[in-house]
Amino acid sequence: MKGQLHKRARTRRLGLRKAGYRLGWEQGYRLGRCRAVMSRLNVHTPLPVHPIRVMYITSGLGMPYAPLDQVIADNIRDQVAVMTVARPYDDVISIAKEFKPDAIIVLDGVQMFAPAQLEALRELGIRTAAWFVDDPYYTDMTMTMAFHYDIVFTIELSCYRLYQDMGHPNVHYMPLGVQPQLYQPVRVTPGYESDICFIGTAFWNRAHFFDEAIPLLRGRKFRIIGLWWERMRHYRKMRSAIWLNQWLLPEETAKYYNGAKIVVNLHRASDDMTYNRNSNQIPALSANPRTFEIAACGAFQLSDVREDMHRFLQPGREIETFSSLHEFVDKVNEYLANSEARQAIALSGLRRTMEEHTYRRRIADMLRVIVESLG
Amino acid sequence: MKARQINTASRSRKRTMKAGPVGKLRYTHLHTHARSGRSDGYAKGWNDGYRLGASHAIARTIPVPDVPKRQLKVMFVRENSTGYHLIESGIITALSKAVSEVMTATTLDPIAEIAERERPDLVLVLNGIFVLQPETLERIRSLGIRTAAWFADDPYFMELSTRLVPHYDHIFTHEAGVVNYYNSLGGKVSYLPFAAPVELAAPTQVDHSYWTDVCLIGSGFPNRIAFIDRIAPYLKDKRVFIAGGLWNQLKAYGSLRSSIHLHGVPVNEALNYYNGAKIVLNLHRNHELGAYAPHVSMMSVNPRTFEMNACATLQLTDVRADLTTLYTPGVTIETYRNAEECVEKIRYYLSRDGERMELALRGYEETRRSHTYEHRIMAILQTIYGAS
Repeated sequence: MKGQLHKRARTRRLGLRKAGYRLGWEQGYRLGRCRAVMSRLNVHTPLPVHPIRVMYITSGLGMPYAPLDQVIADNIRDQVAVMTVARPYDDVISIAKEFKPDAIIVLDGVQMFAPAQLEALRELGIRTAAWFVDDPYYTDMTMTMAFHYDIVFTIELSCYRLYQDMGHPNVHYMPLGVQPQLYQPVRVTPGYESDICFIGTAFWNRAHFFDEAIPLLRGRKFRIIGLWWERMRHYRKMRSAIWLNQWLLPEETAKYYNGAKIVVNLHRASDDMTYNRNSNQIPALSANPRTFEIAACGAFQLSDVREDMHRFLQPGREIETFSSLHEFVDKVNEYLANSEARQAIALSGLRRTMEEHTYRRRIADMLRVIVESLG
Repeated sequence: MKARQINTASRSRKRTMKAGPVGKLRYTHLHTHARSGRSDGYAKGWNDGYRLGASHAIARTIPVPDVPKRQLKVMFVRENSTGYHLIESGIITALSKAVSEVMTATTLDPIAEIAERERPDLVLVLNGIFVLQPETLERIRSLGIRTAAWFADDPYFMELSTRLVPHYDHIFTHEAGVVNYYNSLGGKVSYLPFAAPVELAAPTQVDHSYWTDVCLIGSGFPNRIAFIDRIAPYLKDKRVFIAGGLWNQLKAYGSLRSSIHLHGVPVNEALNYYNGAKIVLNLHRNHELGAYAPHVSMMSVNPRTFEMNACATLQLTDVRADLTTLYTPGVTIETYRNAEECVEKIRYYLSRDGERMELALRGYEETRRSHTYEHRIMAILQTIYGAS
């Protein structure tokens, strides 16, 4: 009896050890391949430092913009001669008079600024630039505000076209990017692992989507984290897989991405009514920053289609996409069964993102435009 | 680890007091074990996966070098002993890429007759010091065939090798410390270190029977015996694998007995053990140079140096003067100067999986980049025939 018990326990233990080994192996293998990608990148090649004075004005909106402000300020500082940071509710005009910048770069620059202020800055002979990071959801305001800036950068292709069509002389398409220090391949504990992971707010389109998808993917391990997911019909059944009302730090988010076999990206609908000032129904064509954040973790990403996504990540090669619920379910099943295919795409996405879609690169592009305009 | 076990024991004792039946205790106890089984498995699996994933990616970025093909017929003469098997297969693989025709023979074959019949452009001998005679070499030369040897046992059998030196057109030796001496005997001698046969010696996944903390494969030469005796107390509670003859001469043979395999292991098994070990030890053979002492020295590394690094496992080696020209200690290989340092570094790297693997992977990278037999064969052909 005693011997048998022990034998059974030993067999069980061996079985668990083997199961654990397999799980660990897959994670380790992925990260080993990511290591090779990361070590070959020449992300540390120096970028040009422009001999100009720049004043950076933060969004002043707090979370979730604060980390972004930090990243942008850091990257500008590395690439210009002198930089100072101000907040929109500071006395920007006086600071500018004293600091005498060649250019001012404002993040967002829509909600916290009055047109009169901007015109006063222009009159000081300072080149003014804004990066609209909420397009197209605030077009009701940006459509007029854009014309109070010399240079406008927008993350949204449709808005780029819109401002140009309206006659703005200096508009540039400049999507957000990723900060590799926060989002990168890392080792995670098994608690972060899942089959299918989504992190973000449950806008209605997302809640409906998962409500429909979940019954078709029975037995898969979901991990959903974000605000408002209790509005899902399947919420009660899925409770153990959902973390409500969590605002995850980027590093934590990165860990869940790293632990997931499939990270889902669902773009917000352009007609979503939450926090929306887009009465002209300007469509959303461009990829969200989450696209780059997932890819930067070396995670396999399954995203809904945005028209302009292929410009940044090649569907089928660097990212996988779906345009219907059934395509989503089929691809989830297909890729969960094929870890090699998953990893191949994830690694290509990682390489492309680290080479082209970091904030360092974006700021370099932005400064080039500004320096050109200074003549 | 120990602390955790004690903890577990005291926890289950507490539970028995509450739960009563002995059966309950046992299940609780087993359950705890089961969980640790899973996470142990996970950690090991992760490390193995990482090592393999990273090395596969490295292999893709650093392919085996492209060897330009020369219109040559080469007769390769193998040493008649299994000890040279890895070196030979590395050479043969590389040669067949580098020249239009390769044929092989062993030192026991009548190589002069074969050469006369086959008329190769070049006879390349690996080692060959035990059997080949000067007359044989002169006969081949008289046929207008070039002769070259790659000595692989320098400086251990100087009395055998020196007498052959003047009879080859070209000599390559892995031992930098004998080059000047051979040249003074009228040889045309070049230093050529060993390399890794990367198509055979490679990172692979091996099953748990090969998993060890420390592995040492090789004969128990006196300096090795003395060294292992010094670190034996530390090795006692580690998973150790030692294979090779003469190890029963250890004073600590009793305590290490279960780790020692006196009959040695075949080459492919050795590679599995390299792959399964956390650390492979390398300890160069020491040798009394006797009458040759004023002329030659031991500067160079053994073939295992490359073979171990080709498996992407951390190598801990004693230092030969040449080592730093091939690998960078602390970056692509790790070294020790004495038994204390060896123990200290084993302890250090056994408790740091990440650092250990990074070092091993860099060693693997360097091996593929600069130390394959393709590199060496290109060097041999260039020395004999000039740039292609």
